Amino acid sequence: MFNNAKGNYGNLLKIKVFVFISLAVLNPNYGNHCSDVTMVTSTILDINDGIENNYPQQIIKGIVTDEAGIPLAGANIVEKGTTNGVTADFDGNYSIDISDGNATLVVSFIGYTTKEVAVNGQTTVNIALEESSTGLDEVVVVGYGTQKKVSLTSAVASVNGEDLRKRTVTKIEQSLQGNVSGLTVQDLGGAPGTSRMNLRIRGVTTLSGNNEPLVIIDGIEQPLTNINPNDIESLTVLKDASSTAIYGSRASNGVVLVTTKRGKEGKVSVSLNSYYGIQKSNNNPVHMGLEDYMRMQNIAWTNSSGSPIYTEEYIQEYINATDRIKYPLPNTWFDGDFLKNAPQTSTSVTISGGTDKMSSLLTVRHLDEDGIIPHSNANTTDIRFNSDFQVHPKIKISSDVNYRYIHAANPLDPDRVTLDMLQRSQWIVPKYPDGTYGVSSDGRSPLMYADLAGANNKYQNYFLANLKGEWEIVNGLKFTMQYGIRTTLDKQKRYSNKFEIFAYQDPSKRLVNNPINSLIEDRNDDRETTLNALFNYSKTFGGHDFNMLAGYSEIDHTESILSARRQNFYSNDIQSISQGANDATKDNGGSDLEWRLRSYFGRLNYSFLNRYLFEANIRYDGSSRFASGNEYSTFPSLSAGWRISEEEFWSGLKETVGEFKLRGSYGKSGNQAVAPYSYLATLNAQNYSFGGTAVQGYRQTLLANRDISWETTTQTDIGMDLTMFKGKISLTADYYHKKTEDILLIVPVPATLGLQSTARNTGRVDNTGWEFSLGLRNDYGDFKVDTNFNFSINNNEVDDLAGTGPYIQGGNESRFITKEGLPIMSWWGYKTDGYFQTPEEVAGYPKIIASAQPGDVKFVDNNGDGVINPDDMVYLGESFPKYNFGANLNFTYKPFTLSMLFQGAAGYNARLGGALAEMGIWGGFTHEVTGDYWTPDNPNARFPRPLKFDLRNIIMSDRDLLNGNYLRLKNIQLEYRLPKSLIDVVGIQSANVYLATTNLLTFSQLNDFDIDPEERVSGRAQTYPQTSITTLGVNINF
Amino acid sequence: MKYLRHRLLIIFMIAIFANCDDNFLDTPPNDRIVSEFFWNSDNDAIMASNALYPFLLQDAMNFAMWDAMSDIGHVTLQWRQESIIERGFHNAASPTIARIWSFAYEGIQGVNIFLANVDDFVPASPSLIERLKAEMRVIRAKQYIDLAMLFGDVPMPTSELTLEESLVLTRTPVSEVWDFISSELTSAAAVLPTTASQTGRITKGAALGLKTRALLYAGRYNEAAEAAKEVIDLGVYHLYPSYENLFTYDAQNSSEVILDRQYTQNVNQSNIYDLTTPNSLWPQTNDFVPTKLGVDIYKMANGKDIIDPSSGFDPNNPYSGRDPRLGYNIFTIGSVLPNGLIYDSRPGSGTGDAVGSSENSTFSGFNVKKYLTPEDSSNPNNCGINLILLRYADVLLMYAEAKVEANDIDQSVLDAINEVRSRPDVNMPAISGLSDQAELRQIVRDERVVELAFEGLRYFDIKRWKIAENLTGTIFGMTYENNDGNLTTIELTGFNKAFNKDRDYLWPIPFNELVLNPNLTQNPGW
Repeated sequence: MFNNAKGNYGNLLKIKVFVFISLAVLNPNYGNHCSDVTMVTSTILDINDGIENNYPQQIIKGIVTDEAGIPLAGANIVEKGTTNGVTADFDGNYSIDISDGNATLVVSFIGYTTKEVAVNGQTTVNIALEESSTGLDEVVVVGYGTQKKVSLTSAVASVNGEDLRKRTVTKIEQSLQGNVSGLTVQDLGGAPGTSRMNLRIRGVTTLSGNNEPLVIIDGIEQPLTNINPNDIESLTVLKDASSTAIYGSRASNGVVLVTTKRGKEGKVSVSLNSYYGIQKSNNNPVHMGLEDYMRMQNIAWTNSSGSPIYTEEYIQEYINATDRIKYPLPNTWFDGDFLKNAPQTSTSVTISGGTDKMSSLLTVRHLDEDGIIPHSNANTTDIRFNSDFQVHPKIKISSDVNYRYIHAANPLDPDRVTLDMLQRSQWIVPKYPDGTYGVSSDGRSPLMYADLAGANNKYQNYFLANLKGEWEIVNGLKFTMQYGIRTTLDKQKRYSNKFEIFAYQDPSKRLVNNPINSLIEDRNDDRETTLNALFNYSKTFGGHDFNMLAGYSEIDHTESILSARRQNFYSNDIQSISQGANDATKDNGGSDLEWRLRSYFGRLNYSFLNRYLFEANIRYDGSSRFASGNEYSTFPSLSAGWRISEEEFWSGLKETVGEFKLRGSYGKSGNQAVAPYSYLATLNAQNYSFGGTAVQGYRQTLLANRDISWETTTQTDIGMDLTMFKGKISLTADYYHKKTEDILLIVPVPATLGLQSTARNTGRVDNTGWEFSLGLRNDYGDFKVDTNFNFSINNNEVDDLAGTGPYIQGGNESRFITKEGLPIMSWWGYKTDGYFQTPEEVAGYPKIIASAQPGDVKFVDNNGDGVINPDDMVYLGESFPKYNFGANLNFTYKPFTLSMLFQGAAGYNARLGGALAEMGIWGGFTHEVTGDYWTPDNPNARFPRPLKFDLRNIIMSDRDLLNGNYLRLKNIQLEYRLPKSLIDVVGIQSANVYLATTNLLTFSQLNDFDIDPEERVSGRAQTYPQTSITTLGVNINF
Repeated sequence: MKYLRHRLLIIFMIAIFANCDDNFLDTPPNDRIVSEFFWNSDNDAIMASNALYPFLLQDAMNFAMWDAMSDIGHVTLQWRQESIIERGFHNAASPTIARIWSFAYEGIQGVNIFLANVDDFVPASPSLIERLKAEMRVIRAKQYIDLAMLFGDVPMPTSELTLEESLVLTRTPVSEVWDFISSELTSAAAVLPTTASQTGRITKGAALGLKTRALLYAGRYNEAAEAAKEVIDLGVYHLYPSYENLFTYDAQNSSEVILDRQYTQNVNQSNIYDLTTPNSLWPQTNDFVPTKLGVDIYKMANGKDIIDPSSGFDPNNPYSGRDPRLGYNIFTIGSVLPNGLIYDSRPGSGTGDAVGSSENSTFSGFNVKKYLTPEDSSNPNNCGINLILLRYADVLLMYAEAKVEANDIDQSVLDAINEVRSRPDVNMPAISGLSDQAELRQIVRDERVVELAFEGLRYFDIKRWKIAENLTGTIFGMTYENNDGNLTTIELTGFNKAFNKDRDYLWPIPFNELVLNPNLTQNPGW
């Protein structure tokens, strides 16, 4: 494998190091991560310290710069015809041992023209690379292939893996936030090991729920979540129809293409990427002060029942008390130690290298996340082995294997902990001195729940095998065959403990009794195979460039679910399903599902003089989700580009504007996101019993739709790419119009039909928008600036619901409407006009509740009919951001790099519900902001008069909507590159350390309530708390 | 040669993995039954009928909530939709209203689909199929009774409905709905057996009993009395000797039960215990509690009203010497709980039942006792006790009421009432020598509320008697001796039970139905 004899010794050492680190990473008892990393690192130093080179050799040194003499850190220097190569350090310095004084060095760097330099016996060779005109050679991954960036005619954004890896995130989606124009990433938080990320490319196109883009990793559809960020070579987002049509029926929400790293010809290299981070709760709501709270409660009780609940003496006694066991504070969860700071560690080691016959890359990663609520943590182990075999000069076989194991442990229902914390745990002493849990009057406590209720363990085994053969049949004609198998085995064990809580004051009194323990165990086995066969032909003659692709693809997806339940285990520690009572209480269930896709597709690229560019795509897709006759549909696209900067007349401008391209595209893509078997009238099992004996029953519950078919998105895109001042300024702008027709919509049907609705092809949704991406980079001597700004606007509108609708979902907590002329899922409710101020005003205006008083919300009688009822509800705002923006700022000064990522969204509203909005109506968390409530003395208050047990003022209205706009410093990172002089001693090629923090700064109206602007699912803020993480990390390349 | 070998490698890959099956896209399900392959045998018809039995009653909530929205009960948690209705704050968009409407039509369409398909095959036993059809028609009629009572004029599909048809349905006048219910139940009763072949299946008596109820609700008193008489004359129904045990597992399927919603633990269970149990037994929900009105209506055991000075009522000992059914139906201070402890709802008593001790404690000082059985206490959401939908005592009282309202008063009216009052462990004094319509009307109404409390009937009774608007206002709870030794009555200040006589006798047609079907009209006042 290692044909360079001199490399052997070093390589062996590296392998030892790798094995050592891998063992450390994978060690299940990998307890104290921080010290382990230190230990591993120091071991490496020891090993490398001992390297003595016994062979006589010639050392060539030098510096690689650009034309202006600025060092090019990271440039590759390879001895021609060998695998012997090195990388230039931060100052552009390199040092290479060569075997032959007449060798030739091949020097390359992205964005620069590769140069070959003969050594000719010199010992110092300085090399200046020429900037290739605006990255002409830069290649972008597109559907079933790659294309030169300059010849692209479609709207494609790409991010390189290095930029993604820079941000310390547990989910790769987080690092896409703010990095790609037109891509909205909503991070909805979640317990460790679970992911709740929403990705939307150019808005929401369908009403049926599936708006997630198609994610293709190395040619196989795979989940993006949990992929090791260190494995990513590049990530491409396909946005317009011209680029996505080749994926036909799954592409209407856009496509994300990920390419993983592969071993490269050259010396074996090992790199280590490790960090240690501390997560802390990002938003800690502040409870109203004790006295204020008691007085507000008195007003609320008085308003509702005529008399206060606390006497003045009691209030004084309470606030002056020091014994907070006898006089507990209202809600202490957020300022106590319940939400703990939780560590997170990640270590990823990559070993890669190869010869001209074979190359490989092996990555091992271990991620350990502790949750900020007790008993929640997750760990992930990921192993990837990508290999390439050049079995013949014209035949290459690749084989990738990826295995991932995730174990997430949480309290029985982690969201319930937050729910109890906010809604149901007023006046609790979390734990009494003797260890007894304090519980609320209805037997709740988040701490008790987290500690005692039980455990929810999720295990996932993910396997991927990806086999690929490439055969260059004749020059220019290539055949590629790919077969991938993806299997996910999910196991979930939800164990509910039996437990009791007795009163601290009176241990004979049982406050909580959960007398039966039980286990629900689920197994989900999900398997998908993909077969791709592609012919690629390219031909160049004269100024003509042809590129053709013809392909065939098959996907077969099966899923099977098995679940079992038993109860009455001997004790809470016995948690195996067989140990529960073997009687009528045991239960099991399951389901099976299969869907398939068969597709034929092709692409033609033609360019003339590298100046006039054309592309056409077509895909003919068949899906098993539709009845015969509706199975197949065709998705074509066309696009063209004109590189004006290549025209003769541009030559004068070429110095300033090196690249200027106009492009346009038009095409169709589809969505088959309808539940399998929807076209069949199926009968569901329904239990009943006669005289205590169970009987079987079957009944049709869903409306069958035999005509169900594809949803089609037609998209037009006009864009331009501009590069000025040799790449110092780059600008991409796009305008698009996306029209989605025959939307697969679960149309509400009259309840009188007596069957639940299934998806129907109904209606049309329009998305139009603009996307801008501006890159600015410059060097001022030692100070380098590299920034990228992106901004996108998306206008969403339901165009046509084919005579149906409007569809109103939700209720007083949060109500949405999907109606022609409005954005999908707009907020829908009453308009308000402040608060009633006087009895006369109350008397003179219609009321939602007859007993309204001054201080109650004045709901507007919109239609003026003298009553307030659902007919008065109106559009209140959008629920999905209209504007998205991001700024990625990188400043480098000598060995320091400061990176900041700002990210935000605007043009939408969020709604707050539950305790935070309800002003202590029940015994829930009462935020201090609600202290500004209406009284006769405070008529211009922000909140209405307090009431007890009365939701009249919390009816879904514009009053409860908050401006959702936010801007946040998503990530800030300071990186320090260790000086060469220091690491040279230990034989390390490069090393840097960094300190980073996420979500450090947020500007948002939701800050008033200490709600994370990105968490906006239910508005109750009762999901797993979001965190900010501060990390210290190292990247080392050996 | 080597080159060829490698080429073959690639070709083999295609051969191994490519699927040349023309039916590749044909993936029939194996985890569900497709309608086209069903409806082949008598057994399929039986299974299809089984699946429609749950439409007798959606769930325990739909059993317990009605009386809580009436004068004798109260919904504890004010965020509950039922509380919103109790206070008159509901409107056409209220989810509970939509839920009740949807459930009824789901049952109706289920039966219509059954009737449309059950003749698709040649049955082995034609009489079985006829019987099943009759059972299903009774289930459909039951849905229409609920709809007619709550909404008045309603769409009345009587055969399988397509989506297109459902979008243009119009409301059928309620009198025609009653006509349909009556004729359906009459013809079903002609087919159904007197004794069920399988416990819990619908019988002739169930069809006639529901017919009685429907006709009574419709105000067709003569016909109602006739139907009740038919049930009585079947001779198979008798009062269960113990009222106290009637709502326990012991009395399930007794000869008093005419129609019930059958439940079985772990198979087909309800949460009745969870819904109504006192907070001290199960500190979770306790959704529905009785009011002072619902307690004071029980007379003294001597038959006298408690406000009658000669009744012997002792305000300091208010629960002794009363109609025994008070103690069987309601927990009052001093009652023994199923766990053996004493129920003490006095504020500050230190028990979970103390008024004001939590959001989930009783607000009135009373709790419902009916259907709380020790067997269900260990897992309150897994109750197997059947909930009775129609029992013989109801039929007797409906007979009496129909005769009184028709002013056809004879000894059989008094006999029917007295039969109910003379159940061994009730043993209330017999009514005799009365013939005044107004007086008897009040007697039979009072008898209904104490006999049938918390069985889901009171809300409908006060609506059809048009007395609902008189039973509103502030809710009161128990009267107890406070720490100073004075009698205090719990008052739920600020809580106003509301009923607008110009609007609330009918619920609004659900808002979404009106949006989807322009042919539907709204009820007055909504």
